[in-house]
Amino acid sequence: MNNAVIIGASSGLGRALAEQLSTHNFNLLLIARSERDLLAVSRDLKLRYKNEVNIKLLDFSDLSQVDGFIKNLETGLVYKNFFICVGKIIENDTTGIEKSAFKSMVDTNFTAIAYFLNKITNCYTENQKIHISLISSIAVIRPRGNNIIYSTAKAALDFYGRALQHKFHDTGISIQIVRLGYVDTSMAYGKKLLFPVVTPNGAAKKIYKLTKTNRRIIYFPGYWRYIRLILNLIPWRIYKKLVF
Amino acid sequence: MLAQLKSFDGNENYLANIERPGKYSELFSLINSGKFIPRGAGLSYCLASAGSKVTSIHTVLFNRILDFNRIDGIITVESGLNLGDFLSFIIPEGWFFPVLPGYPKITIGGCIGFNVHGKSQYNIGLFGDYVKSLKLFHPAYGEIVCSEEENKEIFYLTIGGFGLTGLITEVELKLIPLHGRCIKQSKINVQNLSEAVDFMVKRHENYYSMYSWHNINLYGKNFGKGIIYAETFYECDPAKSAKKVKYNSITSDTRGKFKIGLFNNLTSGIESRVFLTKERLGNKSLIIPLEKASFPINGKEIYFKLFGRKGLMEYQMIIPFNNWPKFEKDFYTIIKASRLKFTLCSLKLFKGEHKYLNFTGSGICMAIDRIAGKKTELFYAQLDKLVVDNEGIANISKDGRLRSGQIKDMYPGYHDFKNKLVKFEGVNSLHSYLRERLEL
Repeated sequence: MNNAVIIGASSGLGRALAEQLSTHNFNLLLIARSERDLLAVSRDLKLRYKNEVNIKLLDFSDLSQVDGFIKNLETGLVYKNFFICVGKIIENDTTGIEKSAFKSMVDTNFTAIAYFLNKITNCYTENQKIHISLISSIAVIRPRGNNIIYSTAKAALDFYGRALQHKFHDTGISIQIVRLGYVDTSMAYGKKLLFPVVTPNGAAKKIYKLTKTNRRIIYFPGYWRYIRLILNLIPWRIYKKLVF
Repeated sequence: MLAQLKSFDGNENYLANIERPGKYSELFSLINSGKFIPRGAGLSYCLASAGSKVTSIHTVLFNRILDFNRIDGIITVESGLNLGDFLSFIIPEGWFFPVLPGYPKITIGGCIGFNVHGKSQYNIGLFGDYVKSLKLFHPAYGEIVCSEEENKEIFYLTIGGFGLTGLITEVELKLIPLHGRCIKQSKINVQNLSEAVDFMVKRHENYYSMYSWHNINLYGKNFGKGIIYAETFYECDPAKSAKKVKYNSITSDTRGKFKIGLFNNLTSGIESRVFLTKERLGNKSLIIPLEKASFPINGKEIYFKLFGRKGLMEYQMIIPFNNWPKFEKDFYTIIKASRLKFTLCSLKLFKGEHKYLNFTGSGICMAIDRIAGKKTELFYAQLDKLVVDNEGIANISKDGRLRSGQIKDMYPGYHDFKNKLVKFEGVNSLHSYLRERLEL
């Protein structure tokens, strides 16, 4: 039976991925901070799909906890698939943010995930086959004056993921970067957005399907690929005037 | 987020603050941060899940199954689980839940809030009869367990309490063993309302559920010419029965999608005739998969959409058995005098004791639908008087028009419910337009 680790599995996309993988008979290790949410998700999956679901409470913005978790993983190294869905966004993510909020945003959206990838990829030999789906965002397309820290941290993560793709291109370690558009999670709920939202279940289905392909960078929904092209072609003197 | 929230019938429409937490930490933080009201699928005919300066907490992401005892048929679920998903899980396990209102997207929390009934209330009771215990979160008390043994008074205030006692986080439900994977539906023609009532009263013991549809746009001896649907469980091939039962999704917004409705006094009469003819000419006995038969409205969403943005008004009442003949006569008189045409009239039998503001009692339950408007309102006001005169009650969950005055006259338990609610919920953390309207 296949297995997977989902980081950020208690809600939103992570929860939807847990359900999607359960429908394909995956055994799961679910990781998140909140015990009650994680227990609810794992019990529900076990009852509905009768698969093996383990949980691990972990604050992914705390690097020492990440270290401890990797030590535990090293003893087993049975997991072959990793889905990293951690993300944090705050209201008024612009300039002048307090130190703790700033640090938490950067740590959650970049530092902890990059550190985890840095460690975990080192645990496996180059011949072992593992798959990592790294959830990035369409916020990385081109910088703008809103969600500054979030998009910067996501861009750093995206860059790190591409660096790893280069390093491991000839090995069994496959890294897929999924630049997600608007997903109907609590991050997007109630916000007036320029484009339609996709459901977490729809995104999860697509992400799972893509694990069977060799594509390195994916936009979902696909039309974001063209939006990226257009945005990057707009000259600065016009782009700077756009409010979005 | 601010959003325009509507009742399902389209008659109540308010700007309200709504949030949809996905984690318990977000949920509890919202509850502790000010006035709130729980919201399930938002499919109630009246706007019970919104209020002014109140946050509506949409619970649909709390929809997980937490525990299931396959031997005793006891299941623990979160309150945002919808009935379609619930049924899809329990039926293959060999269990069934007997109290199901007509639509699969209704949440379990919503069913408790209104203590809803299903097609066979006379035989199996109300939703609340199958609630073993529940966990309720109220900012003043934290999360408390309520059951027949623990916090009994709050337990019964919560069942049929319009979500005004707190937010239900977990529910323990009692299931019944599955007697068959299909429903055998027999259709019996009746010439008028009296004949239908006679048949249902005499024959209810032979069937699991019984309900009817009538054309009340015909006058004279054909008033209420219709059809009775009598159902029993039937054993059929599970693989075949579960095939292609898809649960649709309608919201109060999509219901009112068409700006102009098709129904008016003329077309309502035609619709009733066409439907009745179709049903009478159709197959007299059908075998329907249980997943489909449990939700008769699923797949018939167009009926609600055809009322257009203006919406519909439903009046559902229970008239005691003894008073039914007199009521039927008076009902005929006012309907004939009004010349109004209705799109639906349906009957069921009811059995139970009055408690608080629960829609229950022993008698005939009748529901009628008509396009919303002044004429309908005036007719329903006449009907209110008739219901009170005949010691009946109107269903609060179906009717955003009802005010405290009418409810006090109809429900003997009004003051008891109000006093106990105020005593428990003295801090007034929960509020809704329904609470305001009924002065609770």
